[in-house]
Amino acid sequence: MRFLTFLTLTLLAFSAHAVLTVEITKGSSKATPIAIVPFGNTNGLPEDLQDIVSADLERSGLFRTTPKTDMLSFPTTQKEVYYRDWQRLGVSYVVIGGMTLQPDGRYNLRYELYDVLSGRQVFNANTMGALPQLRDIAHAVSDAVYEKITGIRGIFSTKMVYVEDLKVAGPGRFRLVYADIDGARERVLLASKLPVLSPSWSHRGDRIAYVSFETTRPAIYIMDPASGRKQQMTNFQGLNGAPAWSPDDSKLALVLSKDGNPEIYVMEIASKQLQRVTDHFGIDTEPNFSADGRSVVFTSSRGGSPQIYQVGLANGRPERLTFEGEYNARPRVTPDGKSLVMVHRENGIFHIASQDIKTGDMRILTETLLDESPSMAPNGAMLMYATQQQGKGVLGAVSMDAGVKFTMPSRQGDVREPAWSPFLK
Amino acid sequence: MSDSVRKNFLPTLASLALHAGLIGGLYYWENHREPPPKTVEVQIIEAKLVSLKTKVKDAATEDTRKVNKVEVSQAVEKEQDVKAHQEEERKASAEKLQEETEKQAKVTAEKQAKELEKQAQEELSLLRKEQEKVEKKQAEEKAKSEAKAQEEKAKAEEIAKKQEEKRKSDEKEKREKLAERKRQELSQAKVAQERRVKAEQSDEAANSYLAVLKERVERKWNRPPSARNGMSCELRIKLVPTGRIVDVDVVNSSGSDEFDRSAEQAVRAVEKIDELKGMDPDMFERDFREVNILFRPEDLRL
Repeated sequence: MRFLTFLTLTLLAFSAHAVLTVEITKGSSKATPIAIVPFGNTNGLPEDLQDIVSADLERSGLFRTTPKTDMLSFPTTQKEVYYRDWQRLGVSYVVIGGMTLQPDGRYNLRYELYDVLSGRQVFNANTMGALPQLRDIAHAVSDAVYEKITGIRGIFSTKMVYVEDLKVAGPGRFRLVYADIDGARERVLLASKLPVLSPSWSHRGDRIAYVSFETTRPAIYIMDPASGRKQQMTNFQGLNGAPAWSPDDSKLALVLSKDGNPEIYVMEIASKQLQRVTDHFGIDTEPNFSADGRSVVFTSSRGGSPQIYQVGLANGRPERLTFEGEYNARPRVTPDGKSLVMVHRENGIFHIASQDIKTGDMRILTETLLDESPSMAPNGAMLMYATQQQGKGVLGAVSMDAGVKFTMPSRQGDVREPAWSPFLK
Repeated sequence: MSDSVRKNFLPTLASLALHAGLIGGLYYWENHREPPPKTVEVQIIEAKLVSLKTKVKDAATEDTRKVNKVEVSQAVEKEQDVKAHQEEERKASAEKLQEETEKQAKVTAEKQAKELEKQAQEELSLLRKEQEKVEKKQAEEKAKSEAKAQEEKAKAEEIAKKQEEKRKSDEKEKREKLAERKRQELSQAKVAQERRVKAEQSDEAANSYLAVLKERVERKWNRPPSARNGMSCELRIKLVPTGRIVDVDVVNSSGSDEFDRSAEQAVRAVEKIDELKGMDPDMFERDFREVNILFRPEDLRL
């Protein structure tokens, strides 16, 4: 009887018992502590791979790297990884590796990522390159580690172009610069005593369209950054500006004022044939193709203040997209085609904002001083824009999710109009 | 009383029957014993009569031969005289005989009666003795039975007493059991009540411990940028009473390794929750040996 009672109670208790569940709905978006251990057998190389990887990850805003001087050991193989040591440093992940010189003279870096808290290897891989590609090797490591931890493809191997104004009168005052996304290995694509504007990457990343005043009046050019070969696309009276590539890279959307006031046109690159898209007395500018290539978004003053509109290429009927704020301009369709990134002004303050194309939901990503054009990283996780720092134009970047802001190392002059390349190769 | 009547009924009946039998026997004896002496008497008389008649006949025959007619009358007279005389004699002798016989009979009868009486007396005494014996026996038996009854009664009483005692003790036991059960029920109810109260308190306590756990994990949870609102990952953590998290398992994956890992890392980064150390051991066993943690971001911008 007692036993039965006990049993019943126990059963009752048992049936009533369920594992408690705690629900976590909040969290931080703090930088993940990670240690990039100097790779084995890399002494004497012209590039410090460990430093490059650490800097890449730091710049993403998602990682906080452990200084070499804090490290208790420098493991280069799995056997040498003592998780306790790294736990003591408060590190979540450790990257180790070692370099070997191949018989063909190329360098092969083996690298491994460890989850310190769980005490296991997350992955390991190899990447190879010749001596001039040591930075590429490092960026490849950054990309892989970033992707493994964040779930987002890394952008450390991508490139950018930007315009630099040395503010010193002379033949090379304005420059179109091509560089790694970390600003290294910059290469001047074009130098001119007259302004260079609006660089724009083709979707394949093999060509750059830009506006140059080199012939004393603005004209649109396309350049192959690898070879430096360029081709003039327009030479119309008045304004020739703001080229943007169609998704298949076969067309350019551009602004021409040859017919009186700035209107949007689409040019077929191969034939240089023009199609006029807008016809309004207001200013229509800054065109950008939609993801499907069937319409163009642009900025127009037709509503009184600059707002963003979308126009179908087939019907030519414009539709207003933005209604929030007193000023919305410089629309860029994000790489996933789902949203627009734009310059947005509210109460006199400029912001970089993004808007969901379908729902129209707008959110402010960052505050900026000027209405400079934002350029989205191909992974959609970062945005690069021009800003002012200590009276100088610098490149700023913001992590879309983490909200982490940072500025690129200051260059010689003002840096503007950055354009982030797509994923290359 | 009726018991004793019933018990003494048979012996009484027996003695009554015996007495009746004896009296009846005596009566029978009195009536049916006489004829045999009478018969003897008659025989004796007849024998005498026969002999007398022959004598008379012989004498008469001799008279007749001696005297004829006159003689006959004389003879007849004589014979008449003789006859009368003889009659008288016979009468007298008969009377005497009768008397004697009667006397004898009477004596015999008396004797016999005496004997009978004696016998009867004897028998009676015997009977009496026997009766006494019987009675004694009966008495004895009665005594015995009474004793036995007594004994039995005593026994029965004892048994009854025992039964009573047993019953009492049973009852007592029952009562005690009942009381015990009641107490138990009460204590169970009390325990249940306590448990309920405790449960409520422990719910509160558990909630506060869960809140600590939640806060710690939230503080450590660093979501990857690929995390989106609506994604969810459920982990099961195993704790030890020191508050240390000793094991983490993904029970429901978000489908994203990075998201799952961020959750797991958050828990592992918490490592230990010192506040859990003070927990009631029962509660710990019940609710905190294993805890599920559901990671479902709601505060992301995407």
